[in-house]
Amino acid sequence: MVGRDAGCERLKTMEWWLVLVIIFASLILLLGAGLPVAFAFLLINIAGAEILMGGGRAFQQLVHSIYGSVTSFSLLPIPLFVFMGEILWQSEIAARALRAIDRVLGRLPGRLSLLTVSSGTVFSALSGSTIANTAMLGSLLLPELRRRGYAGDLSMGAIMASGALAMLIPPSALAVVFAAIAKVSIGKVLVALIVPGLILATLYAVYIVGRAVRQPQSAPSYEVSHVTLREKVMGLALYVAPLSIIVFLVIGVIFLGVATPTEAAAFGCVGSVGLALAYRDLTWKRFLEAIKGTLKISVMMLTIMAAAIGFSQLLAYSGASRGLLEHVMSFDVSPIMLLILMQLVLLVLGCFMEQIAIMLITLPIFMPIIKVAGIDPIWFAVICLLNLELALMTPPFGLLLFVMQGAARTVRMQEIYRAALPFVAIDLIVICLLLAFPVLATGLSRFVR
Amino acid sequence: MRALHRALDLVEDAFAVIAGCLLILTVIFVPIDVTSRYFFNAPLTWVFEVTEYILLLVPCLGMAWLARGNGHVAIDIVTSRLPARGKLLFGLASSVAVAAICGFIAWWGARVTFESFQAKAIIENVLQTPQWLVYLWIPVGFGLCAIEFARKAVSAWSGGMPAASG
Repeated sequence: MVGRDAGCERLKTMEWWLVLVIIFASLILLLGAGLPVAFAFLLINIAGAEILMGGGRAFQQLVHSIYGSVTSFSLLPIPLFVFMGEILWQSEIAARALRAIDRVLGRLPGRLSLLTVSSGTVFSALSGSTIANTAMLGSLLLPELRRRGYAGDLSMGAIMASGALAMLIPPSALAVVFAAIAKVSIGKVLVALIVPGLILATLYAVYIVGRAVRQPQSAPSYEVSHVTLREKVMGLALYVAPLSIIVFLVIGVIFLGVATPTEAAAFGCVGSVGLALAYRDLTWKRFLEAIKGTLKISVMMLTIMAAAIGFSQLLAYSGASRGLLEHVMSFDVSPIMLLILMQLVLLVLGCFMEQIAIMLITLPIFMPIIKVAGIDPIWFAVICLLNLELALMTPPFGLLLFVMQGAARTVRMQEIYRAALPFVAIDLIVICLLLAFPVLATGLSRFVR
Repeated sequence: MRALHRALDLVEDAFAVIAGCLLILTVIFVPIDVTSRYFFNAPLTWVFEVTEYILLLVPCLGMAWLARGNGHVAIDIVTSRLPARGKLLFGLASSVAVAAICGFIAWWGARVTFESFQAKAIIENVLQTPQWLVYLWIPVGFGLCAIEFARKAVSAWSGGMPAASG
């Protein structure tokens, strides 16, 4: 034991940056070798407990940290928001709403792409799962978009971009994960994401119209059968307006301070199931499919979350977080520069890594810096989440690019990359907008009680 | 051997079904709690606490089931570009490693659970739940997951075909 303790002493006095480099290098090595994200983090936690903290009690501490990481009431929205998306996906609610919106849109330039963005935005307000949202939009709209000869960015690009909105516009499971790891108010982050989400959707629409006007062949116009005003209104009233009940159940009750985000999420689930039942399209089989889908994503996310506290404890214990903090602060960089630098780190990581992994790696280090630099954590959270949403679409490994490839089958990956690029650019513009005008992110959240 | 596979599948499926039911319970009881607190001033005090335990139970119970369907997210930038033999080797190494990681956590989880049982530790909350009753699911879940990954390793070793699963 003497030798081991001496070893520990040596390691404890090791330069903080060396520890940091070793932790991150081994993590990237493990992830690159294809180890599932959750277990790669757990292995680092185990190794850290042995090497830095001398094993024994540290392993017991690790077990307690697994318990502590997930047994938090505030994490319940993760499965519940995903469940809402699954119910929407399994029932006909989405398809019906889409048909109603379809009738309302007249002969607009880039009509089908606008339909994609508008329905994608509506679904985002009902679903917390980007994969379900993108797959749903893909299956409902891609065949029609292709039949009408729409260009790649106006078809696949629009679907991916609108599908990704589910990560921002509440309910959003990943926003809950972010707020939980960063230890900021979940309700405030959810509400703060509304405006940036809508700005994104609007700019997507502006881009589509602009492109369709300048290059009409990219979005060939077609005859739309005449629909009377009465039919339009009836469609909206029957199939779109009721959806606002769910939106109110989730966002409204948080906003009014009636319920916590967790309770709101539970109400949202009840609302989704109730609505699906009211439309009479929830069979047992579909309900069970929805639960199975929810279980898959929730278990996956919660297993990764189980390593969260252990990992941030490791960074803290090794002195790495503190060391980096002091180091960064010693440079006397302006807060905005810090913010931009952190976003660049996220942007690069986002091209290769999965969202929760990025959050686990960066937030224990970023959040103390944010605090000391006096940056508004809600503002920071919104910008980061936008950046992580962007990561869903950035080549080469954005998750939605692969969801799209699964839906489109015959299309080459290069074409999908190209289709995503205009929307990646729009996302970057909105991130810059938020950096310049923090009020876009924080304005609404100030009213959350 | 086949009976063993079937038994493992069965336990995993049963655990997943329980995890699914627990999630539904939260959807039912959390709104009931809120409603009865706001309108009748009679909160169901146990809901908050039980929900937190459920959030531990769901990943523990579902972990092995998810692993069987390769549902744990991994980054396959490198491994997907390897030739078939390389893929197999990396897959094997990764399964062995995860089985060891889960086994290790199951072992320490079992020790913590046992010590907590002996010490009669209580989680200080409304229900005064014995701590071991909740902690128990960490070794159970990770233990089962270790077995599942061991099965993956064995099937990768003996020919690369994934074991029969339903």
